[in-house]
Amino acid sequence: MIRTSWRQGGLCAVGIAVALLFVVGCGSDGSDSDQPAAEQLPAEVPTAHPDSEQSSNENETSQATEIAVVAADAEVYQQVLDKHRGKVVLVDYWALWCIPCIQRFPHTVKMQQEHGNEGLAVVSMSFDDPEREGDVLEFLKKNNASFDNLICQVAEDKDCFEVFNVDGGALPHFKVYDKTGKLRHTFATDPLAERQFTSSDIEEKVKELLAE
Amino acid sequence: MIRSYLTMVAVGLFVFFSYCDHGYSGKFNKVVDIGDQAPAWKNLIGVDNEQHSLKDHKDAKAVVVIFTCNHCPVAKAYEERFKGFVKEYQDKGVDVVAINVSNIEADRLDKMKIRAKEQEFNFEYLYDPSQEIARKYGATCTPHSFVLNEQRQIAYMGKFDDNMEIEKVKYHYLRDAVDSLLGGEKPEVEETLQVGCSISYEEQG
Repeated sequence: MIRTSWRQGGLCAVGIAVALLFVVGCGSDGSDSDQPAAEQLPAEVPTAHPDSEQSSNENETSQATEIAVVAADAEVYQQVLDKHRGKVVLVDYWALWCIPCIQRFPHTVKMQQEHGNEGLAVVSMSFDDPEREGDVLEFLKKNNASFDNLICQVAEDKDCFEVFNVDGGALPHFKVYDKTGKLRHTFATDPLAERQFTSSDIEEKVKELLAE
Repeated sequence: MIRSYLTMVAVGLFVFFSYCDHGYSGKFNKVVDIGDQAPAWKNLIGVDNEQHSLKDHKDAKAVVVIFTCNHCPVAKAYEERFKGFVKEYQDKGVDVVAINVSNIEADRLDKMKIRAKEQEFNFEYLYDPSQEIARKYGATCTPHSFVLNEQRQIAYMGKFDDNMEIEKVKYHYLRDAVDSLLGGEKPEVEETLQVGCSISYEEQG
């Protein structure tokens, strides 16, 4: 079980946890992954939109939700994450100018369709110029993106890629948060990596977090 | 038993350090930092079918290195700016070298030649199918630019400017950095976060 816990690594927290577990808690093996993380969480997932004035159609079933795009800075982004507390959240950072993002987007939609009822919430964050919101929305509708769709809009002296910690400033980029709202996995271009991330890597990590 | 715990401690610490101390050299660059000696490329083929090396530019007061490619819309949006920069700075002792490391079909050497011809590139456009030079610079996306000073240390790295739409540009980071160097000063802004299409790195064998 210890092995499975560190194999999930990729984040500092896991490393620290494992290091501490081994250094401090040699006698208490077995306690790590047996800890029912879910029990420490709010039992129910809030479903109402905190920004409901911005969405006209508030159907609970994601399929029927009207597809919209909302301008987001770090604060709005956090509100969206908070709204999904209790769920695993997958965020797909993309842009119309990013060809691999366009190619990967259907996989993100599929993730929502396949794992939405298992506790996955999908969020998309476009880094297109807010002036292109119309084109972004058209793309989202065409792809059936029935989830929270954001378009980055930050103060003039700020950079979306910095505000949202997109390592290396390269798209595509993904982040996965666990049910407690903690950032657990970041998928970024890494010139040092033996291989770059794939859609299956994302799915694997999402499934791991769903199972927690 | 103790030994296995010790092994696990080692593994735990390894995981801890390899992920936590992920060793960003620069603020945004995992591999190189400002002031580092610039990784030198040797004998990279260019769209002119010649071999090119960093040392070919030994007389330049500054060398601008731009990782770019054919297909990326952001990189394409900057081509005119690169050309304009070359026109303006070539007589000031500044050389510009563009390097592509992408091996996708649209970026291969034959396509690079077509692109360079169509767009009338006035700078070297080199191909490194091994991708090694981009890894050495910690390049993540196209375009990703570096300015090397006369000693060939990295004096600036990151964005060319602050907006891919030319009419919205407010900060000319790379140009300002080069102007500083030509004036014998250190650039005021030495590093920005580059923005663009992810470089398609292949699995390392």
